[in-house]
Amino acid sequence: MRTTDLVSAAVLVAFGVIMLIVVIPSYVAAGSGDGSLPPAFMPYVAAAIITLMGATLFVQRILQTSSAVDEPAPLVPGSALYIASITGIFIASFVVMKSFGYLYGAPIMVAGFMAITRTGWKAVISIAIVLPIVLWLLMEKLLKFPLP
Amino acid sequence: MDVVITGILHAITPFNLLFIVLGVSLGILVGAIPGLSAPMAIAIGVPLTYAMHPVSAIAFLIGVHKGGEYGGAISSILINTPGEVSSALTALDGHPLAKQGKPRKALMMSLYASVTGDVFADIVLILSAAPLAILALKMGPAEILGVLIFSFALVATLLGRSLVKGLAAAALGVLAATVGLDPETGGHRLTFGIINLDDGLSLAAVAIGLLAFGEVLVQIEGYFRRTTNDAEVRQISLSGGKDDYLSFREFIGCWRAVLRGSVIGTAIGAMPGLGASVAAFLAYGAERRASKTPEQFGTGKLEGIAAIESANNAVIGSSLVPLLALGIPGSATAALLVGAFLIQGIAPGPFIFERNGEIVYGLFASLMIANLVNLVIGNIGLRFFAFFLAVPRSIILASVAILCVTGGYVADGSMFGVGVMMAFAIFGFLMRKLEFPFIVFLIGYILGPMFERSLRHTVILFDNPGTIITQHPLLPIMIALGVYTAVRGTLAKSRSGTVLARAAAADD
Repeated sequence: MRTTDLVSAAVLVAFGVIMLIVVIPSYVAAGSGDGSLPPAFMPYVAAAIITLMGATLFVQRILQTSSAVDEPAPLVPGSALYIASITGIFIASFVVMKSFGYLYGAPIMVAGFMAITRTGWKAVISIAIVLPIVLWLLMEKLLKFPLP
Repeated sequence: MDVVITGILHAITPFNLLFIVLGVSLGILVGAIPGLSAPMAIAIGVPLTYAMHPVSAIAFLIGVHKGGEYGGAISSILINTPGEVSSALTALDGHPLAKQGKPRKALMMSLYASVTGDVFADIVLILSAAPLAILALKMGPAEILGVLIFSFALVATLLGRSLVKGLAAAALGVLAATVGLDPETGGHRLTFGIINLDDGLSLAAVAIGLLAFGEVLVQIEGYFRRTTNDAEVRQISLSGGKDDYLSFREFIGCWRAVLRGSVIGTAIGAMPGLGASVAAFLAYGAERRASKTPEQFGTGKLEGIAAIESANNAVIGSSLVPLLALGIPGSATAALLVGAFLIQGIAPGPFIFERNGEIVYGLFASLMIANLVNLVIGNIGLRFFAFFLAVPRSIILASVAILCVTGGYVADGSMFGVGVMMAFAIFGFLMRKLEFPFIVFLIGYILGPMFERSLRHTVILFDNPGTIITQHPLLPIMIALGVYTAVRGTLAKSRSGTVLARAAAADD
């Protein structure tokens, strides 16, 4: 957990610094002249706190004694592969849903997740087809909310 | 008085009653299924309330919450696996009782104690919210700023195991809340030229991704790493013997435990940051200390179940006190209810009694009706709930995932909402894995605009910091209290890593 915290602290500091130096000056409208605080004030405050907390966390973990009880890292090398797989399912489902509609995109997500859980293929196919249809009917016909 | 009558009339319409029944039923089912929680169901349910009357919308979500807290006890008692974190302790006495052939008795005590705790807290809410709101109306921007700073310190300290991570999460939430058009000048902030971001990130899409889909991703990872299986669930039959019914005498015999749990739950729920798990833990501890036979706890003692279940349900009503009186959500569910109120064009806070009085009194009446419905459905459904525990978790997770996608689309009315929801699902997954309190992020996101507004007005109104201290002493007092809470909380956690701190972290 100590190493993971060090990495997440470094990411927080990097994110905060990039926000303070690059993003906020470029993507927040210029200040108001009526004595009020400029639009960039709150983003600057939040980004400064993020940077400060990241730095504090980093120092805390550096100073953590080696004898201190540590817990196992929650993110293991396999986690990157898992996040990549999930992102792949998200992108595929999103693109198909946007291009062809809910009834085509939703089954990809259901089938993708059920494949990860190693459910039998018959159950995967039946649930991936039935579930989106039921929800589509509920939203479109009963609640009158059009889905893509 | 007209406002009260109109509110009650809203609450007893057949449409409203139907949604309360649906909400409570859904809540019990979701709460009973290990891995699913009431906040997850509420997050998905929020976008579905667009077309409803405000009273029906909030009553539906409150019904889910009330049903969910009771539902959590069902799996704790029957299969020794808590459906909700706050019901984990119920298994200590509930499951041994079930193994002794008295599962129905344990479930009945759990139900009656839950409903009693609910009613107690709802009465406190009804009696205290309006006077507190009147007090809150007298507060100016400086006082509101002080209360918000104190709330951030309290929530960041109590939720999660690290104050630093809590404050970082709160700041990330506030930063995310600044996306969109500046409310004072209309200038673009962090929109990157994307028109969909002009109105900011949809609260419902963010909440669904963070709370519901993020949890689904954590659970599916278990299958991916082959540490989880759809193992067969060994259920306990509900066809117990003659002694498997809870008599009126037995319930009344536990009145002290129920009352103690209700009082503790109500007090804990009213404080931002503390949730049902802390209340359940404290109530169980208090009951053991007060008992003449503490050694019998953990072997199937009815008082143990009564104290825990009355406490964790009492949190629901009292957590609405700071929400309605001050507009400050102190828990995940309260944060989601803010979203539901905003969808209806209602801003929770002290003005709600003045501007939307009939909605508030309709909500109060709905809370009481939901208690009755919980009692009836809980009793009727005793024999059926066990069946739902056998549904494979993989199917449930895939179903929740597609409900989240649907909710993301409904929240924003476009595929952009689905994209936001998916992005925050991965963000929520990472926050859980890295132990950053995602509830604090969500509370920061919701309170961010109010914090910015009060800060801006305070700065405009007072050029000289000295006048703030003399004219508005509540601001420095609340800041000092916030610092004190943060220091005390951090020291307590680093000293002991107490079970209580872990219970508070579990309320994430």
